[in-house]
Amino acid sequence: MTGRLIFRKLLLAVPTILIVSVVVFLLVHFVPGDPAVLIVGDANNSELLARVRVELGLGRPLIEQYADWLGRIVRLDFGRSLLTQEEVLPLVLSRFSVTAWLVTIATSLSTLIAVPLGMIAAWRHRSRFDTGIVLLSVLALSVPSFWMAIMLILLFGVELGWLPTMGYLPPSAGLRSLAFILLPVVALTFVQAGTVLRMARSATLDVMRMDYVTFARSKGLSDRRILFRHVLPNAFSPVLTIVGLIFGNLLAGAAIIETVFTVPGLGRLLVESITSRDYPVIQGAVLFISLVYIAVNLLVDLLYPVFDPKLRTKP
Amino acid sequence: MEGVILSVRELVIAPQLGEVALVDRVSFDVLPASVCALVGESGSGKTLTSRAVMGLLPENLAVKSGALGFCGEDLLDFGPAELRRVCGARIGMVFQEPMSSLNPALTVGTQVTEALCWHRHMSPGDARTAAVAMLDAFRVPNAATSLDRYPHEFSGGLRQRIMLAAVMLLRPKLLIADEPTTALDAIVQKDVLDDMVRVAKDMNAGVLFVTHDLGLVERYADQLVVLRRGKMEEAGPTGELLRSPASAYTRSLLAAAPSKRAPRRSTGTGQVLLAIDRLCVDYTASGGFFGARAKSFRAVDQLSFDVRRGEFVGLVGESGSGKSTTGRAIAGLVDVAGGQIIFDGTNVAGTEGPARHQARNRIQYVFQDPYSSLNPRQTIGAIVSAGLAELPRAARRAKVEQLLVDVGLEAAFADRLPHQLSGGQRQRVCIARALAVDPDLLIADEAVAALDVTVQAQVLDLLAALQRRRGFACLFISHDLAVVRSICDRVAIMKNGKLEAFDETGRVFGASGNPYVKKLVSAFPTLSQ
Repeated sequence: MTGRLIFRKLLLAVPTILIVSVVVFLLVHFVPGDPAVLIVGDANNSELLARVRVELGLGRPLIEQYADWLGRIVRLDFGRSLLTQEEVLPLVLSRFSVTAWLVTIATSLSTLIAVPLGMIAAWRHRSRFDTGIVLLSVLALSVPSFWMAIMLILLFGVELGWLPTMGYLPPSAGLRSLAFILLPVVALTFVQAGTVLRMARSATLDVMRMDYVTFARSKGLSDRRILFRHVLPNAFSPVLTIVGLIFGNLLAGAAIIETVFTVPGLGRLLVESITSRDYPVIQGAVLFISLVYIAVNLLVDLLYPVFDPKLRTKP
Repeated sequence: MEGVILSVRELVIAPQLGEVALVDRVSFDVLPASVCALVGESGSGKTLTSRAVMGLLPENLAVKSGALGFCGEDLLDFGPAELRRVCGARIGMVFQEPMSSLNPALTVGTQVTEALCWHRHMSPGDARTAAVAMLDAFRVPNAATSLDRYPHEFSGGLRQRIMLAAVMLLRPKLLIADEPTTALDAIVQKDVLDDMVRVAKDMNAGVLFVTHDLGLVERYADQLVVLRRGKMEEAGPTGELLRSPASAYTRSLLAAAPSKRAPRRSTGTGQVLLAIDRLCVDYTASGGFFGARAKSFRAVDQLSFDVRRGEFVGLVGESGSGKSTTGRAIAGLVDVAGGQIIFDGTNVAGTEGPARHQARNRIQYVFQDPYSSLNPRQTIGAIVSAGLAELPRAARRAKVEQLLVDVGLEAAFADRLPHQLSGGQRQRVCIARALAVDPDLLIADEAVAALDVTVQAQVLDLLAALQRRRGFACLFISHDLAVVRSICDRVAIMKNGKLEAFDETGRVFGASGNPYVKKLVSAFPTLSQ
């Protein structure tokens, strides 16, 4: 059953990916600026420009160019960066691994912190604790992530001098790498936690109004058992949706945080390639991001049945 | 007092920060192996009283004074921890909605046994054995395998049995049943209540039975307490009290009971307005995008009956019998798979275009739930005048006001919003909206099911009176046999999408040879006197 479900979902992803590929392809061809000029570096050398255009196939009909391009993509040939001549796929993958590392830690942390806090706030609805949690989540939601990042750098990097203000080391560098990712992770966690907190709190409040929770109370069970056995499994599905969406979004580009902390992630790669009109990199990165997004959503879809037995039985 | 299980004395419940009592000095006793019924309409405080016993009042309400004696102790003296030891273990409670009272994420076994493991520290294995025995006592089929299944795999009646089994498993002294079968069909309701009372009396437990249905009270309750707006109207042994009620309110409740109502005088003309001929409706479960087989389910199967001009025809059946689907098909709200719907000489089944459009205007619908069938953002005037777009403004306003007066409201209601109205008033607005276009046929789909008995009686009287004046025919869809009997000229009874019986009301209820109809009629609670 699960195998068939995955297959069906994957099949459904194919048209989405094709549409994305068309958009990505056309986008590059309709934005102002000539890639040939960029490569040659001299807009007046028309002879050389013409030769480069022929080499890149820029003069052929669009549909032919698209088919050609798609054919290469399918063979995992994303081309080379116009700027550095690096191969696009390994470049995107290595940058993605940095982002994935940061974002996975931040998402796990924010879920682990925000879900219990949100649930307890709901359980003590209208108490001081609840009010405090609501204020905190509003604060987290309204503070721009870059401002938060800058404040963190000022405090821990500049004033206290405890942590490096910029740069990145891969996890293979051991403990020292932790010092570099700590501030970006805190910034990302804080931003996400606000949304997750709100969702966890309101989902818990909704579930607590259900008759089956009153029934559980009438059985004389402890608060803890009611909260964890009866409320949590039912309140988690909407939270999961939100966590999945945020996770996908951040994987696709924690660009602002990466830029502020100069972390060499996927988001920053995208920003750099756009400013330098490095078309193969833009195309490769956007296509890759959409694939990641689809994969994350698929994962979330597959997780729903864990929390909702109605989805577990025959479709 | 010796032997009394629950003794409620001068109970007052009011908002935390308010003085207006919602329950005002209510007193009664529940005895072992007997059923005490708490009866009243919505807002009477019957549910609040029962919740107060369990310490389950909404957070903004509190018990202000009085006593809740339980086996010699006052529950109001108990702290949360002590109350938890009593709740579930010695007092059990079942709720109204079987569909939402079991946790969808946990297996039936977990939910049935958890209180036993919690209060009696029983091992899961022993608890399971006990649970199987109790599920058997409540006649849940395949008790052992049921424990590993989830609530959504069971029907409403079975879920209610499961909830009862979970509660009675701890052999409580007191069972509080808050409208436990209101959401169930008549036949299922009788079976479940029979079992509930039998098991409770076997255990020598007292039952506090909260209900609005005097028919059920007469059948099951030994003692009766009548509440109205938080105050006790009267209390006493059921038989005596129903035979000679002292309070005017109890008398009005009894008079409003549909089984006690005088039948409506027929105004049928004999001319056929609507003829249903071998109607079939299928429901198709859509299979999604890629090749999943679409499963279809026949909701209405070869159904034939007719409605004459000026006649009330009842369409009766249990939930899932296809009665509402039939109404929707006639109104053109669902697709028809086969057969004919001949309205005033024209077949409108499966057609679109002017004929259908005209028929839609001449057929109007009144829905069950007066709370969700009115747009909360529109004024009553805008709602009622929706079908009158072609009239000039002033004439429209005049017609709306006239309609509101006709349905027993005031003209000034036109400027109000739905949330400012009570349930009964809203249903009057729904009727006014339906009558605005002077329809030939009114389809009333459980139009009074959500209303209190006295309000229900008023709305039924209104329908009958309007019908006399305007002469429309009415297809009256209902699961309530007593209501149908009091208002309908002829009755069609449906089961599993098929017609079981179709005849004049008296003949169907009197001496039907059909075994299903007999069972349905006998299961339905009616007041004897």
